[in-house]
Amino acid sequence: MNEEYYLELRENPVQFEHASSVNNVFFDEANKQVFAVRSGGATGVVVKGPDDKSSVAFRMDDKGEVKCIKFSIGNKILAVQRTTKSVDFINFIPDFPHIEFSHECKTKNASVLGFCWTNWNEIVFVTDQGIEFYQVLPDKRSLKLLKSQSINVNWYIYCPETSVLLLSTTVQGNVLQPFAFKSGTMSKMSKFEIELPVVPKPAKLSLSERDIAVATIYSDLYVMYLKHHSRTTNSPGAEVVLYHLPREGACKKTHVLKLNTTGKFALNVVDNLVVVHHQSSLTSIIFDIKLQEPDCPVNVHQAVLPGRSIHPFKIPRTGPAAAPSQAPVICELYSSTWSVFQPDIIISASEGYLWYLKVKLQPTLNLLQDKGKLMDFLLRRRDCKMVILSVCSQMLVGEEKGSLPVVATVFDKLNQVYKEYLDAEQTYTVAMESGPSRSSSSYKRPVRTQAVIDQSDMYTHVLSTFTERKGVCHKFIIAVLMEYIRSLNQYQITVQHYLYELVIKTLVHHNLFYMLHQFLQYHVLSDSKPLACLLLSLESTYPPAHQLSLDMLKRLSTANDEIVEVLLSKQQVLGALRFVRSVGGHDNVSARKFLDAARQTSDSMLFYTIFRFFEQRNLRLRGNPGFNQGEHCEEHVAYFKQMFGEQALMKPAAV
Amino acid sequence: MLCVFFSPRMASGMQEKQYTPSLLSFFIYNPKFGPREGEEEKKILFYHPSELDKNEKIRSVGLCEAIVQFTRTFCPTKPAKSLHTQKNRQIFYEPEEHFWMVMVVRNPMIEKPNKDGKPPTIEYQEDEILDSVYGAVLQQCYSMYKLFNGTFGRAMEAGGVEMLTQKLEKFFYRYLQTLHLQSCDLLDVFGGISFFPLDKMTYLKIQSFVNRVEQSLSLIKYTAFLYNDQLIWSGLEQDDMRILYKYLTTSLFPRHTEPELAGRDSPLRPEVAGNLLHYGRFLTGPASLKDPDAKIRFPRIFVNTEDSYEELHLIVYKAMSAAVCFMISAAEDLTREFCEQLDSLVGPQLTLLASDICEQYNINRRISGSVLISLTLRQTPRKCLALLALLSSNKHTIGAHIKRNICYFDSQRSQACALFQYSIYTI
Repeated sequence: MNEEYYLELRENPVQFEHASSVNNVFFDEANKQVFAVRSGGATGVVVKGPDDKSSVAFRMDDKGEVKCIKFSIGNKILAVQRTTKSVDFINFIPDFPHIEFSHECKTKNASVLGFCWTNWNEIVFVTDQGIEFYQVLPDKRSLKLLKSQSINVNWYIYCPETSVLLLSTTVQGNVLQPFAFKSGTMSKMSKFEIELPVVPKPAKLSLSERDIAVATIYSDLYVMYLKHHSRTTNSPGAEVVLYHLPREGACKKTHVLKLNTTGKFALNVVDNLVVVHHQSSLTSIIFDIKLQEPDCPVNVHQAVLPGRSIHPFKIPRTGPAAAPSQAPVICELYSSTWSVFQPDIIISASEGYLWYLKVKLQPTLNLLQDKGKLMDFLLRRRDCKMVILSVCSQMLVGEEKGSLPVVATVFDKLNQVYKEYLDAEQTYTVAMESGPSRSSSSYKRPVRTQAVIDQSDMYTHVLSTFTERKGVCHKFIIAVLMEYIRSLNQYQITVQHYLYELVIKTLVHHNLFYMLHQFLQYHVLSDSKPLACLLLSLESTYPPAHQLSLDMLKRLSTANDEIVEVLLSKQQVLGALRFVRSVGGHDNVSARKFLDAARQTSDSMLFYTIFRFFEQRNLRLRGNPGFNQGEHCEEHVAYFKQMFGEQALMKPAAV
Repeated sequence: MLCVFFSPRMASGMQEKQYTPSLLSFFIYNPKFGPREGEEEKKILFYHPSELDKNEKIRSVGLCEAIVQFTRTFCPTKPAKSLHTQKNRQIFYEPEEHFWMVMVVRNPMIEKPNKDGKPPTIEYQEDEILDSVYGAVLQQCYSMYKLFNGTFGRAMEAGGVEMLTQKLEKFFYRYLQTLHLQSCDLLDVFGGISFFPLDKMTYLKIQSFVNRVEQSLSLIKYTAFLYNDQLIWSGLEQDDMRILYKYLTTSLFPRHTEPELAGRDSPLRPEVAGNLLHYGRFLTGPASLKDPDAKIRFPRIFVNTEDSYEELHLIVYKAMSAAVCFMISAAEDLTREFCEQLDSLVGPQLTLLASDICEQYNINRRISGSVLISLTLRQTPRKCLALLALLSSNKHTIGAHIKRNICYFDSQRSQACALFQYSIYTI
């Protein structure tokens, strides 16, 4: 069971003083900071952020109950809302006076619903009658109105990642008006309507902000609507409806996630997966909106994996009572005091914890049987590399051994991603070479994600161990290797020679020389010097390997020296000489090398022939058949004289 | 195709008569089987022509034995391999210890008529015959026998001389008739395998296909893949493949070409009617899987006789121009279910693969500068030839070639038709 928890609360949660009658807790989604405000700030405000740098502690005067408290980006200015009319500011910039100042909203009779920082010094007030966009001038201790818009607002949601503010308007609250903010400018995006399951009569506010969340999934902004089950419609359960919110253009309903159950839900987005927590069953399910090829305007998705609880979380005991022997307390999961924030935050105000939710990929291996689908799922995850490699290893061994078509599908999926990366890299390189001045800005170096599994990864983590494993049928090993090579070829990826070596070693190990011969015949194993050398080493066990190797070297046409060496080592001196002559290198070769080899054969006629050849060469090049000092052939000249007599030496041409 | 025939030379006179080399006799003996005088007949295991007088047979065997023994005194390891005489050539071969195969070939000759009513002069052309060619033919005879029957020694172990002579009789009686001595040439010496030219990717696809089939039907021990009578992949070792290839291309395939070329509604195509999903069919084994009474029997072959000595069922399955040989241990009992499973698994994949290979092959040809147009027409022979001539006269056509033609009776039109498949090469 333990290996089936695919969701867990990340370690080292942010701990803060839990909420109580004297301690109010606030969370700022933009900076991901938790504010513990004791007694209105008089006895201290403790701010805990995701890292130590963003954690601050300070005191402020108790000027009434705090409704909302947030730092501007970079902890420069603190904004505190205590009344429905105004927001107070405190400077946190070093060297600036640490004095509070207050700003009242511009619109008469409006009450401030809240505010959000869009920059270190820009803030939006959201009132029930519209929004006011201000620039804060900390030195002047005043605010400058940049823009305002009047509109009836029921509630609002702000997405700090994209700086998009979503306002609920109209009586039913189901018409959403988004605004986008960018350094001093505010732009109105096209509004859209959320389809309600039942239209209430008379009209009343029917869309609650608890059922709406905004998050970025696969770099697109989505508005997620938790559509509760209604008895009047025939849907078997609640669903999550995703509205795609583009920067420009109309917002469209694009995905429906079927929950197939009813009750209380909460949403998170982790690693581009939509996580839906279900309180009554204490389980969560995940959806991947890309797992299904988009085939119609609205795609209906089912959960990728069966529902599972979040991995139990143990709270270590702290404080003076803590003793090592005491077991840690098991934290209550799916508690009603939990608050869930986008994208991946869960806060338990009563316990004083802020967790980040995490998807564990390893358990998905056993939960998702369809290996092709599993690969599609894994390839889109962030930390997928080792898990993918373990899927590959797993499918090749043991009882869960996959059939070859499955293996082929998995390889094809991996290599498709690999190829896309290689192509992007190639395009980038070409663009850079053609002149960075022209288009340096438009080309970004492609990011190599973990999903890019290259040949060396496969070799190191999967294939080399697999081929050395005992008890695996060699037929299957070769089939798998060939399947991988086929897949690489299909995507026109150059196969690295170490893969070929693996094939050759496996074939040789099982004495399948004729198979090897055929592979070489069809150039399945592409030519390379290392491969030719490997073949050469096989000669003692399989004599034709020698010729195969020589042929390969010849085809490479960059290995002429090697060919000569190979031939000489086989005492094929004449063959070596003929080859050198055929490639036109006979004027530059070392005479000594050939004469050495000829002498080793103890074939005096061969030695005579070779000697004569070089004499003729000398005559042609220098007008004299004798050898130069530098050629170090004295020993051979002496031997020649001894064998055939002085008079056999070629005479210098008569002048 | 390269063919070196012992064709008649340019004759100087019309009356000259030419005779090609022909098989005079063929026999197999073991000198250990009748060492004592009067038991010489026991040495003879097979003799062709069988109707020859017993004493005559004993005499020729005795001669061979004597020559081999005599030459052994000069070189114990390499006794005589052939005997040249004016009229004929004898080839000796000892495939297994003490088992000798001898082939006697009559030299080609020219009969020159003489004037004045004298009997014609006969000129034997003994130089026209090469020992290496006929030596190879003889070795091939043995290899072919061994492929289907195993070694002589094994037959002896299993059922003594009686079984061996029976097997030899059964095999060589038919085989010798197919031995076309006049068309033997240097290619026989090498026993070469012709490989089908193919690009790497298609080759890998075939690999993948073979591996998948072998994984799904784990009974299969070896697979060989051929296209257009040319080898693409062999799981067998080279020597075994060489002889199997010879059998497939010279005996099995020629007997089965017709149905492919016939139209779908032709009477030559009985099997395909029920299965339109693919063109796969068995070339060995049951003629029809539909017939519940048909026995599921495949020919058996013997491979790796040097070491592991395996007896295998030979299943040859073909779809269009692609043929696959599946070899399964003879110890396995092949059922109808297995055949059906194989048919349904391999048929569709092989059909697809065959068309892939064909397409790829044509692309490669086009790249090399010529275009191949392949047409299958059901026309009268005369019309076909006319069309061919027309296409040949096109200035872009550099050649045309009729691949095969088959005549059959078209029941719908009640007339004889000829089916042509031909290729026209254009620039």
